[in-house]
Amino acid sequence: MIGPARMLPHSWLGWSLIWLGFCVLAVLPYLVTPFYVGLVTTAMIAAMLAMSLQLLVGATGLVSLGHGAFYGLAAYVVYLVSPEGAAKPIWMTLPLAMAAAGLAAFIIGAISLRTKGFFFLMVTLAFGQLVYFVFHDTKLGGGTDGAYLAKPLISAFGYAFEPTSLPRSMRAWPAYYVALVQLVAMFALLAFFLRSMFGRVLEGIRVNESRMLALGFNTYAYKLAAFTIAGGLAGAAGHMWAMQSGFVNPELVGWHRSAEALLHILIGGIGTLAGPIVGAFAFIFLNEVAQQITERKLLVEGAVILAAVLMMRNGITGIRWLPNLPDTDPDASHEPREGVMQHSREPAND
Amino acid sequence: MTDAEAHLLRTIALSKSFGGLTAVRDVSLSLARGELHAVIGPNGAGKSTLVNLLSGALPPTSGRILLDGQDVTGLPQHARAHRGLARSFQRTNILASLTVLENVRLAVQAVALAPRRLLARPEGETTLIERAKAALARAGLPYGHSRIAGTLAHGQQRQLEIAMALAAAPKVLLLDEPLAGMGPEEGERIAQLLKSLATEHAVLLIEHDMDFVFSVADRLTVLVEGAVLASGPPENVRTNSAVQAAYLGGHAAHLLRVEPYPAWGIAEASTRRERGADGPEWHGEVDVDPHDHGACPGAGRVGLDRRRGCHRSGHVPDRASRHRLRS
Ligand SMILES: Nc1ncnc2c1ncn2[C@@H]1O[C@H](COP(=O)(O)OP(=O)(O)O)[C@@H](O)[C@H]1O
Ligand SMILES: [Mg+2]
Repeated sequence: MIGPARMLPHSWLGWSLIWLGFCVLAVLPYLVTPFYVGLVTTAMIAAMLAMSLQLLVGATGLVSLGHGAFYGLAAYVVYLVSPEGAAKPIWMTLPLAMAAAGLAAFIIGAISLRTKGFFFLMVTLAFGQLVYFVFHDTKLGGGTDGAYLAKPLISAFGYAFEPTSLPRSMRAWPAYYVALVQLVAMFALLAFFLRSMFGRVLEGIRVNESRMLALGFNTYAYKLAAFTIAGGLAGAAGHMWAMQSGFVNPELVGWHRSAEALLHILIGGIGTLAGPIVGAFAFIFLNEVAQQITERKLLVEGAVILAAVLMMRNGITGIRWLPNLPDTDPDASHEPREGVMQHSREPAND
Repeated sequence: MTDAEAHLLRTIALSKSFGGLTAVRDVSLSLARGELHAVIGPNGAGKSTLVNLLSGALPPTSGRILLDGQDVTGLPQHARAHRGLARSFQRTNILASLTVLENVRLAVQAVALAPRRLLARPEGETTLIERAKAALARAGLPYGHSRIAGTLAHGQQRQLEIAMALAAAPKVLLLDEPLAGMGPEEGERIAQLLKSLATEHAVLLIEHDMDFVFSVADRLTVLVEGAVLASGPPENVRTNSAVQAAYLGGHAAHLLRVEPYPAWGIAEASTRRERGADGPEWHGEVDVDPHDHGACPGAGRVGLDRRRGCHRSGHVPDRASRHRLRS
């Protein structure tokens, strides 16, 4: 057997949990107050950013601190193509934002990927801050104060979801559902990549890059492809953030964003694709609870995160809900004595 | 036959320096199709460095490398693999957390997958999988393909290492001490495999075991301190006076086998062959540096097994079995 794609659930139970989660999200606005609709939208956007970063961190073994740059850049692209006045439809802003973020990722990746490990972390951080200062110190996007976007924010094919035309209780719904569709689409796309032979190469690079190089893989090109895709997907998240919040500021680009996304991955689980989603949700709700019960929000937050990371080495999704399901353990089959026996044991499609 | 055909792989005055240390010095050698060319030499002679230069893992300081008549000196490692160069590593270097089959399937994918199929699922690529399985069977791993590579016994990991090199169906195979760490049975199997491989590929074999090398190699190159001491058919090398003086005479011949463990603080060693219960056995006497007994406790008279570590009995199991295997 080749073995399953590591980052995806290895059992029907795992898949059921994921689809159940998406189904719950689909009906959630009917069940909760508008405040929570907005909060969950924020969480879904954070989840998208973290999941795009997971293609680098979890799948390829590349830890980048510059990922926020692509997210923020995409948000600014939304502002730049629709400054005060006419708003542009989403089918125009989304591809533009993703393309800009992807292009930036390609250029920054091409340079940063010449380095490895700690230096890679530092170079991506430096590039991220470079992009930050472009928006912070120039008038391009309103400088330090940021800028407001033209409204309506979500429109497509001539039809505008003008929030003000909806009843007050439903104004947050359009952004919510657009974010949900993108979250599910991004999950499906990343699952597709991870299952493909491209994804298997990334896994090989994560495990032992020098061996992959000796086998004949141009590992630099594969890593650059992953970096570019991840940047483009971070762009989708940044675009959505601009859509939801209606303004942009340099904070979107700074390294805090990248660190937060890394934290979401760490909390949710570095070894799974669903981990960043779970981590982002857990983090944002913890944030909310801490804010409501205490003045010392950051302290509570820090303590809970520390405890979580120390107790769950593989994050929330790394918890084994059931001990060793038959198909979760690829090493379960024992070596038979005769080769003949093996043929009857291994499924034909291995 | 043209020159390029005769010499599938050639090096011209290849050198490599690490700072002040010249690990490979002006090495010119050639490797013909259907030839098994062995490189021997004491530990630190530069054999692995030579393999790293040939495979492209390291850039040479000077000199050139020709593959199939074309200069590949400037080509990166992955591009050389695509030109038909495959290698195995002296220290097992596998994708430890992946399954055995996935290790070898990736080796096939690296050179045989059309780029447009890259986004397809691997399970559907039966040609790649069949090739991978064939290479595994050939290297002596016909089953247990679902196991995680890192959980295999050391000897099996060595076989996997060879299967990964074979799977690419290369023109030139560079094998860096493939027998190191293998038990006698697998060792014999790999010895047979090497002989059969040499008929289809050009094989560059690095090996410490002199008896083994003399029995399988078509050509031999003796490397000492990075430079070629002698090169030619085994019988010429065996009788070469420089080689005899340096290696094959008296105790020095066996020093070659002891040297890999400078960390043991071995000052001097000798081995001799004795008639054992089931065939010849090698016994060793080793003087261990009195300042460094920690690494090899109970030193004084110890047997040496460079493949498994330090033995306090006077018996060297690997050497003995290798001998049985030959006679
Ligand atoms: N990457 C490296 N950097 C510095 N020195 C090295 C490196 N690789 C090998 N050497 C040195 O080069 C010499 C030859 O090493 P090596 O090629 O491994 O010898 P062999 O394989 O014949 O035992 C040794 O002295 C070793 O310490
Ligand atoms: Mg070596």
